[in-house]
Amino acid sequence: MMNGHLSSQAFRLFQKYIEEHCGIVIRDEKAYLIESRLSKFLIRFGLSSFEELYNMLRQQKQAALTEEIIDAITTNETLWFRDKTPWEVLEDQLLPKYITAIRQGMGGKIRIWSAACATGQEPYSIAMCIDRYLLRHGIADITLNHFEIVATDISHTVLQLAKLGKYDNITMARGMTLDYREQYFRQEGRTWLLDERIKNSVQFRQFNLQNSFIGLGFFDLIFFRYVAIYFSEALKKEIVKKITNSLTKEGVLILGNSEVFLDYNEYFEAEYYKNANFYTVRGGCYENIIRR
Amino acid sequence: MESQKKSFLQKCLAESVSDVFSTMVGVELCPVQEKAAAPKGYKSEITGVMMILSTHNALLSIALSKENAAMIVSFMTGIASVELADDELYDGVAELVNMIAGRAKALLAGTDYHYQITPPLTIVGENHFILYKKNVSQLSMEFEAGEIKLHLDLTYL
Amino acid sequence: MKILSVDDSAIIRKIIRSGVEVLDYELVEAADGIEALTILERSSEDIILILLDWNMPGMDGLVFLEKIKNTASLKHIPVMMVTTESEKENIIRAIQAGAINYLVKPFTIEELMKKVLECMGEGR
Repeated sequence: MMNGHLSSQAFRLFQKYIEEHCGIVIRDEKAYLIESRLSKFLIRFGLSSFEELYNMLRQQKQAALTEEIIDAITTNETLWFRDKTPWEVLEDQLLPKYITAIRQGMGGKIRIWSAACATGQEPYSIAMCIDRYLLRHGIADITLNHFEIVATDISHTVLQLAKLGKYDNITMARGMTLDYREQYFRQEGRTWLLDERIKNSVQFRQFNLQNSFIGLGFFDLIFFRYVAIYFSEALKKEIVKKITNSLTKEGVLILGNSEVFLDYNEYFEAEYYKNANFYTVRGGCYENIIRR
Repeated sequence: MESQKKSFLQKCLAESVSDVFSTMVGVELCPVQEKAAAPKGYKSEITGVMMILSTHNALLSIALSKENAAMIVSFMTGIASVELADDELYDGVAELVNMIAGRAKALLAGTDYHYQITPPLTIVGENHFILYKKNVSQLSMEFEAGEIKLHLDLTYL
Repeated sequence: MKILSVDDSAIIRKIIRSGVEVLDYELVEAADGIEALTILERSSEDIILILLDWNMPGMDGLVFLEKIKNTASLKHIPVMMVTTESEKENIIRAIQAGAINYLVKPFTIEELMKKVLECMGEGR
């Protein structure tokens, strides 16, 4: 008879294991989530209790399994144009600079990273925002092709959904405005299909934020919103350093509007525009000639 | 109701309401500070009800206006509120109280307050209220998000 | 290809429909276990997944699950529970009765679609 009850002791063991190996902090109130989301691993491995699953994880140290566990316990929440004002930062503060840089022939593309992109609303919002800006300002010499938008998530399944570029009417009601919807989507029944050009402008990749960022290259702009809230303090510190080393000269980091970034001063200048905080890396670590 | 028990239950219910509404409705519903001497017998147009079966049985209810119910169910389903039939509003409210009770049940598992639940039901009617016997032990909470207002009662029978 | 949603709430079935149709599946609906059995008796060949509520009037989800797992022509159809029941003992009961996955209410559409893909073995 399977003993499925996740005792306090087992929950504490998992809480500790997940924090040590995944850098993710599970609050006590979320114990019920662990219970429902880890049970499928008991079935898969024919185990009788969570203690057995815990022991198996500690002994086997399988990176792929650890990633699956992170995928299972993390909630992929995202919205269109979340927080609203970062998009004004992009349009009013950043795009004019990028357009100047492109016209000055700096070489290569403006690289933008959407980390923990979930089902794709953020990277697609970035692409639509840029495309609409170019259209509205009559900028004909620059297109989305001058930008490279990289979107990553730890979950293969969620990336599969993101790549579809198809959204239901409930998801579309959360953050999508009528004008963007009319310009970039067509409706088929209850499903909304994203414009192919926007869909193709985003590259989706599976990526674990605990790994080295070096393989991703350098970015002019990083969206790292509502990701760090799940992390341990140790992982947050490590990730800030890795982000700093991934930004080009005067590269910008955007966090969630309600996220607090207390130690930004060491590496970043904070700026505030229309209720959005954005952080420009001090000096920048890399010259233009080697950043691309 | 003793204050430690009240405080503990309020925290669980606030967490449950917040989880359910942020997930299913996409709205952050927050508890409003208790007003002094709130009148008993809150009047509303739609009330979702669950029986809580425990060592001390109780009734969990969420009460709201029809307009708010339409807004909420519209957010839940992506269907414009004008296109929703009344039955769908009542069903939506019943499901919300079902999920709130279910979440709270999970939070209270293993404590002295653990319970079982019954299927939900909905009470409908303009200006209706639920009348309990005098001196029942009751915990009342108000929640708000923009124009949305929800009244929650946990009443021990 | 069809997915059968068994839930006494029309609103929950509507929400499930929104997610399922994005994945290009057709949703068939039943408000309770008895209606679901009638649908399955008529045509079960196209149904590749059942999304099953637990607490329903009349025949509850677990009784329905046990019935179909004991029916030769139906037992091959994978079942995912979609329920407010999140306590471990109950979830294990469902899995021992034959459920291959489960989704706890409240859920987002993204979670629903992710779990459906997992059930179809397309997640990885």
